[in-house]
Amino acid sequence: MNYYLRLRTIITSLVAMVALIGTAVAQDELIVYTAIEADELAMFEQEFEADNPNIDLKWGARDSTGIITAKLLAEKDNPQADIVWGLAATSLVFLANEDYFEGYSPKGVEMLDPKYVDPTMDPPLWVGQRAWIASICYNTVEGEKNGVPQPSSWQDLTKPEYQGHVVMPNPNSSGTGFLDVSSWLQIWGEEDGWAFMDSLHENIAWYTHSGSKPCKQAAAGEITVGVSFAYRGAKLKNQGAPVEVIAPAEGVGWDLEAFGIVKGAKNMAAAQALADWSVTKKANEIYNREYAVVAMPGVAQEVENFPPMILEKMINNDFAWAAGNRQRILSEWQNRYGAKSEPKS
Amino acid sequence: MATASAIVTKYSRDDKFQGGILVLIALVVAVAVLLPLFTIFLKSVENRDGQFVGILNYVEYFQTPALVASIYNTIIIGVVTTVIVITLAFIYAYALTRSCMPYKNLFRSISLIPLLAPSLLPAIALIYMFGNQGYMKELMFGYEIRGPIGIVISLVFWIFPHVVILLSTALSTADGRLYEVAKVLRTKSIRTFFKITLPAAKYGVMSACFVAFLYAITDFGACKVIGGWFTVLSLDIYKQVVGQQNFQLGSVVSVILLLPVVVTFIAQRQVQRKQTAQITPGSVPYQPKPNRRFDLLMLLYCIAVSIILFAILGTAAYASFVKFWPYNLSLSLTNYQFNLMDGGSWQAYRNSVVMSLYTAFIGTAVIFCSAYFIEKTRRYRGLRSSLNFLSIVPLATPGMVLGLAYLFFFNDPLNPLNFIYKTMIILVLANIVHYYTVPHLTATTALKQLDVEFESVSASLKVPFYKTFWHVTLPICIPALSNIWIYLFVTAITTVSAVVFLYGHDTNIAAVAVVNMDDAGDVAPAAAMAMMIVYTAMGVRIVHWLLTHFIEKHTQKWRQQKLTSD
Amino acid sequence: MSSSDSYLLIQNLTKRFGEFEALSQVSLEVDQSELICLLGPSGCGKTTVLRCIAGLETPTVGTIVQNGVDITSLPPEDRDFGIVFQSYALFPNLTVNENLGFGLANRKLPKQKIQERVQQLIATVGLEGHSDKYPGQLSGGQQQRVALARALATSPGLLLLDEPLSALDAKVRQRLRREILDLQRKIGITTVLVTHDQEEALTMGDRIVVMDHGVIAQTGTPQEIYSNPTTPFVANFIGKMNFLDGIASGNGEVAVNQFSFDCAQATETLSLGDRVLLCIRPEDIVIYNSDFDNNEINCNNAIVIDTEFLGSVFRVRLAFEESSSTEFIAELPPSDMRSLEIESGANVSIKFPPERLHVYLA
Repeated sequence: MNYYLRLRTIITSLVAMVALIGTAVAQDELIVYTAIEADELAMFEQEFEADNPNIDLKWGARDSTGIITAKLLAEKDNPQADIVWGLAATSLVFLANEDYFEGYSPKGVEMLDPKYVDPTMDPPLWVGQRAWIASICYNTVEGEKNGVPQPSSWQDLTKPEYQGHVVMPNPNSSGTGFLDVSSWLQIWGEEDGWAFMDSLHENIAWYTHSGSKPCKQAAAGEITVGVSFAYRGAKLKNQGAPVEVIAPAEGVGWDLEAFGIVKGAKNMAAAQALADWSVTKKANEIYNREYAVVAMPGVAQEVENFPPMILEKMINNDFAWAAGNRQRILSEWQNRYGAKSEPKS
Repeated sequence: MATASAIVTKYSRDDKFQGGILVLIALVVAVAVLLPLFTIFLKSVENRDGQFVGILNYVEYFQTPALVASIYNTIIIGVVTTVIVITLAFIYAYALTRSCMPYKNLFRSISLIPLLAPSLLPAIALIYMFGNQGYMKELMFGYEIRGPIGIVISLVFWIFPHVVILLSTALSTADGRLYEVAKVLRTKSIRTFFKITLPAAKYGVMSACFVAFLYAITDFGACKVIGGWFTVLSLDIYKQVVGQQNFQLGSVVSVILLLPVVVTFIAQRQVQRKQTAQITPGSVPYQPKPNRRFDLLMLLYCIAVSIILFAILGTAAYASFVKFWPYNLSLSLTNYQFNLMDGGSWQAYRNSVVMSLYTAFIGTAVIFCSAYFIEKTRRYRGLRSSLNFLSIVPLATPGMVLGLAYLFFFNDPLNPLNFIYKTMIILVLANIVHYYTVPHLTATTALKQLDVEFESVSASLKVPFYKTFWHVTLPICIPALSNIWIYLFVTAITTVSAVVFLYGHDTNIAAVAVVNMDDAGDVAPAAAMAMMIVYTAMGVRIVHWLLTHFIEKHTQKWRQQKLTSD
Repeated sequence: MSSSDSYLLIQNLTKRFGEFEALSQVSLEVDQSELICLLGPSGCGKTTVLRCIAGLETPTVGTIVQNGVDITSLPPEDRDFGIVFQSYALFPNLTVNENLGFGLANRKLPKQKIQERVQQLIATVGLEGHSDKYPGQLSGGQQQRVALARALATSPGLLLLDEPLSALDAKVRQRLRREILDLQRKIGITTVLVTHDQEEALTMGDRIVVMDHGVIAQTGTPQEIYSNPTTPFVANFIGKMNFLDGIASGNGEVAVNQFSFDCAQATETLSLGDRVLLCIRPEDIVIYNSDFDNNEINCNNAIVIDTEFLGSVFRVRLAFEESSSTEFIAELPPSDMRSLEIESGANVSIKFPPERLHVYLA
């Protein structure tokens, strides 16, 4: 009957449509989770795919360090990513402890400074790409207007005249926030470190979700002092924002952006290809466009408006300690200061 | 001869087909609404490893003062917003319905403008107006815009049009005869207002209050952008789920948010029922009489409100073009270069448009068809009335809760539908389900206005139901379909709450991009993206209006009545 | 009547909605080409019977046989009928032409044939020149005719009319009654018409089925129903009727107040002392001058309370004696009024002709 015939056509085409959508979704691609800034994503994707035309690189998730870490942790039983790429080494060490990664020696890894490569395993579970370093962004215009002097040390920020004029990232979501907290605890020890943060907390206007936002807000005059990282500050200053980028006297925290291949990756070959590409000289040169410190020695060029002497002020970061104590530090921090935080943290 | 057992009519081809469709609808409802919502409750009584722990998560929740404070904050925001928005909108609606001021249609359209913007937009604009670098910062008298003040102002802006619509309806259904009597009896106008106007509009006002409260306590966008350290329940869900990946606590907060929502919702339904019962067939529509002083006053009020609405919208538009607020106020398109921004891209915008188009087209078809089968099928009364009841459920489900429910349900690797997670399909599905109820009611109302015997006549003529549907029901309902379409498009492109948990790497959408760019500190690009949403919604609305005009002129000729006498 | 003759046979039809019994034990036979009226007040179950015949309601118990086929459990699609609803249910977005062709288009007939049939229908109901109009552009009467034509389009064996004229004003209604009747006679289609309007039933029905609270009160030709109502309900519902409280006093007599009436010809068997209702139609009461011989059978004195002019007749309110609570109404033509010089307060003689009296047990 005409009626049934038509019905059958409709159903057939519906089934075909669903199947089509299904195959489109199941297409083979390299899923990468990352915490690097979005404005660099397109460039990396383009450069990598130019060298590896068969691979379709997909940024599976892009968010702040803490969020990507939490997401990876939540997906532990059903990992969605093939490779974690450009995430804080602290987080990678922490995830490696959860047996998240497959050891792999990228071709040419021996060219890198060994202190940036997983020292515990061979083949390494993670490989560093470049370092980012904590800094303070200070808006000179607002500073003058609000009577807030330019700080030169972390301790300066606890002075009464800074009250309500300081913003820092929430370490639960931001890798920069965590390296700040971790560095203060490493510089002064647990007790004095927390005491410092208690008094700093009094002066904090709000905690932000991302690590670059304090500097962006300082650049826009929304706040006078933003605890952020050097690269973002230098970049904003180059754009003409009235900010000074300061490396505090006590020393600055830092972390590596690193990668690790996820155990049981659906597209292992492509993940290894990205790993290989990531340790090449070309990749390191690209890293250097925005960061001052990269894993391959002798590549780094000076970045304009980077705080002077900052490399000397980098603390001796203990990744194992930071990763091992990450959860404890974060929940302690959340209990002490969580209420003042911006959403999403 | 009479048999003892009851007679059952045989199932005709139409009956079987319709039964099949209704079962299909029921299945879809189960998969798209009931099971996901059920998983929320399930998650809230489980630990991270999926073992049942009873109320342990709830205990943990109530032992965390920072979280419990959000309950109080949410209620306060809801109450304050409701009081302010109802007051402002009541006067506005009063001017629209009870005065003889000029340009009423213009002011009615202006009041609807906020519908075209996500609730994120007023929040962003307020930061430019009253933030630390705001051009009207002095008006804050030292108070901080980030926090409850900013949230309330944003919500008032965003909820205003919804309430104006409700209150205008309530005020315009007044019985003119009562006013005639009052006038004959020389009643003072103040007394008339309190003794006639208010009681008549009472249920309408109460209903609007509940609606405003519902919107205020479930909003996510405004609180996210301008909340500062101030937390509300919908933000807590987001924080727990996205920030901490603590799904258990996220579901606990969801369940807690559901409580006031469901209570308010039930109260609203009760009141609305009374409101509709109040309109009697004999009522004569009220015709306002000119009163120069009063009309002028109302006109000034509407102008003032319109200026504020435009100021907020205009600020966001202006800020989106400013190169570097506040130090370099030269205009440029830099902020529209979304591909260079953290969390945004032009693809997100394109995705939004595509998603909204899918939502509008598929949603209109699906919602209208299911309303048709629920309303016009002859048999299966029990199934149909349960489906009718279930179609109200989405209205009482906050977007955040629905989104989280979908995350749990569809991200489960054991779910065969797992493949739709993070795809365009789940975004469209979530939007259709989230905004199902209002179009469903529109469709049902339109269908109820059709003669109930069309189907019987067709059966007697042995015409299959789908032919009657195609040749009669559908063409008559074109105006309703068109309303549903534009409603779905605009809500889909402006919404952020349900989809914020569901987008994937290549299905990021504009409203979520606004949230993420704002998160990364790129406030001006966030404003630019929010404005892109407004431009698009406005453009589509205008095109839709023109097209509707054109289509109705050509397909609804039969509506022109030209009665000849016998 | 034997059931083999009847086109439509309904037996013991009962319909319950939960506790409520909408129809109980309704049995009915309709002959080929007969027009039968289901008459009764709203809520009496007449529409439910119609809907059961159409298959739009399922009876709880009972059988319906149409043209020798048991259709009790068939869905409407599988039955053979055309229907006109009170609302007409015309498709408002289709022209008259399209409305009439709607059922035909589905029968895989060539376009040519469909157009011929539609033209024929339009001519039958006299709607020439309106074929391209939409229902909204037609008058109520015209719409009614379209609905009728549409119901007849597929040449069904049975025509069901559910209050087809109630939406029209009185004049149009009268004209259409005639038209429908003529059409029905011409086609010879078996028809069931549901109405609450007794005049409509009396003028149109070959037979009338009076229904009350879900049961059939009486079935018969219009004359039978009118002149021999078998229950007080039928008596009251069709035409006007005086109801007088009385007591059976033996010998076929009924006493009302102190007056006695010979009711031997009334059907009810009475025993002494039964409380009864003595009934007579207003037009059956005969009025004489007061000097008339009261000894004639069933004659009595009466007093005129007031009179009412209704155009073609006068309505006279009467009582057997002054300030009596037992009042009754007579109707008589103006000529009689003039010759008898009846006016308020006048003393007259009245006669209840024995063959016109109805008695029901109270």
